Amino acid sequence: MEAFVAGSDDAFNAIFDRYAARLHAMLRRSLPTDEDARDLLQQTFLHLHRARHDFKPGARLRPWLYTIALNLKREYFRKRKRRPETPLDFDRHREPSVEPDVGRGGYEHAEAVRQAVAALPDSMRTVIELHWFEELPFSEIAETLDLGLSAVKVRAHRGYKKLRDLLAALEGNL
Amino acid sequence: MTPDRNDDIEAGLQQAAHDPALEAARDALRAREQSRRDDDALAELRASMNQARHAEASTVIGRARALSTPTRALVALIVIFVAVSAVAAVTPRPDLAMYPLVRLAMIGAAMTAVIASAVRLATWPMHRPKPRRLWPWILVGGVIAPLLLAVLPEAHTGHVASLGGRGAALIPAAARCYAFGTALALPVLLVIRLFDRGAHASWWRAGLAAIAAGMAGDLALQMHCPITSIPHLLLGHASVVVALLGVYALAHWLWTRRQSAS
Repeated sequence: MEAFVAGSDDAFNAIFDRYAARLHAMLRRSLPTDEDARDLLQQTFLHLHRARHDFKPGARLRPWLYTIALNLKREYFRKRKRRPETPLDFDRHREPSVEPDVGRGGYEHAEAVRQAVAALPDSMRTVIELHWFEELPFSEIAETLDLGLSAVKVRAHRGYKKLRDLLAALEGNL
Repeated sequence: MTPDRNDDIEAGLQQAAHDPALEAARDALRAREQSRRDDDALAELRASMNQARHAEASTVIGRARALSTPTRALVALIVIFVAVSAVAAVTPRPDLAMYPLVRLAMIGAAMTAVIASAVRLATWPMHRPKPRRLWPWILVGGVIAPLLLAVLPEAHTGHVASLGGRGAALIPAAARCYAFGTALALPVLLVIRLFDRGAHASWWRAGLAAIAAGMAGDLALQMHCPITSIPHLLLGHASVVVALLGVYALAHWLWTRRQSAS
């Protein structure tokens, strides 16, 4: 991290290689286009680079990255005055056949999962995404969202219950 | 949270952690995401970002934004302090001997507190969650404070200069003060925005920057203008904050609207 703070290219590239794919996937889940997701991903890392002198030794980098990405995503939807997710907006132009590795059944299942996550209330969805997909511990999620640990666990608990119900309902329709 | 409720939550989370249906759902979505992963595109993005980083490092704005957050806020406050002090030193209010100094000190302290809070939030870094409990108070307080200070009972009417700006002279005197305060506020606003790390879509940061700059202009006027009448203080002093916030908010709204339309 000292090298990163000093502005080392190698250190920055190492951080990018480690986190970019996951952050891109997280952003892509919520945003309508791949281009928008890449744009926010780029902004995320640029903000990280600009903030490097704020970094204190021993601090965790991952909450920083997720906080920046979530803040940028929030601003993105606020500018466009859209709900964070509108499930039916997604993948209108994407056909299952372009994803041969997943298969049609897998595609439909994956789409049902994404719609279920998208249908969660905002407060639950972010916690579920960070815990369920990104596998962040609750303590890091609390740090990322500036919430108490109890509040995060309550949201996760309610979110998982609702997610199960939504998944059951959506997959029953397939 | 009662112990029982806490147990329910912990049990629920444990159950979710080992739920085969949830695991299968996550695996399905991950499989699709993995099939879409484009390492070439990410490598290309990394290369363009390195270019952007190097380009930014060679500019004054880039270097200013890379300063640590405490340094950015401190420099902005120093600029404000120097500007207001210069006004107080070069063109001090002529009625200082008659003005209740305790009142002046308290007004100065109150305005300084609002300015410092607004600067701190206007330079809030993106890697920290939005201070959702704090920024609305500072934004609203930054508008109300100059209005409240303006409608306090007149400090005194003992100096001839303090009796100006009334009647027919109200508008011209207020306009001069408004221009003076705004002329000081605008460069302050530019400095604060210079240190903004590019979160220009963030309207609350922009609003707080306008509050800080407008209050700096109003504070300078407190040090400079001897007129104590309430209508003058409202029209010529408090208006600096309100108008700057309004104009800047409008400009920011138009800018973000254009951005989202493009």
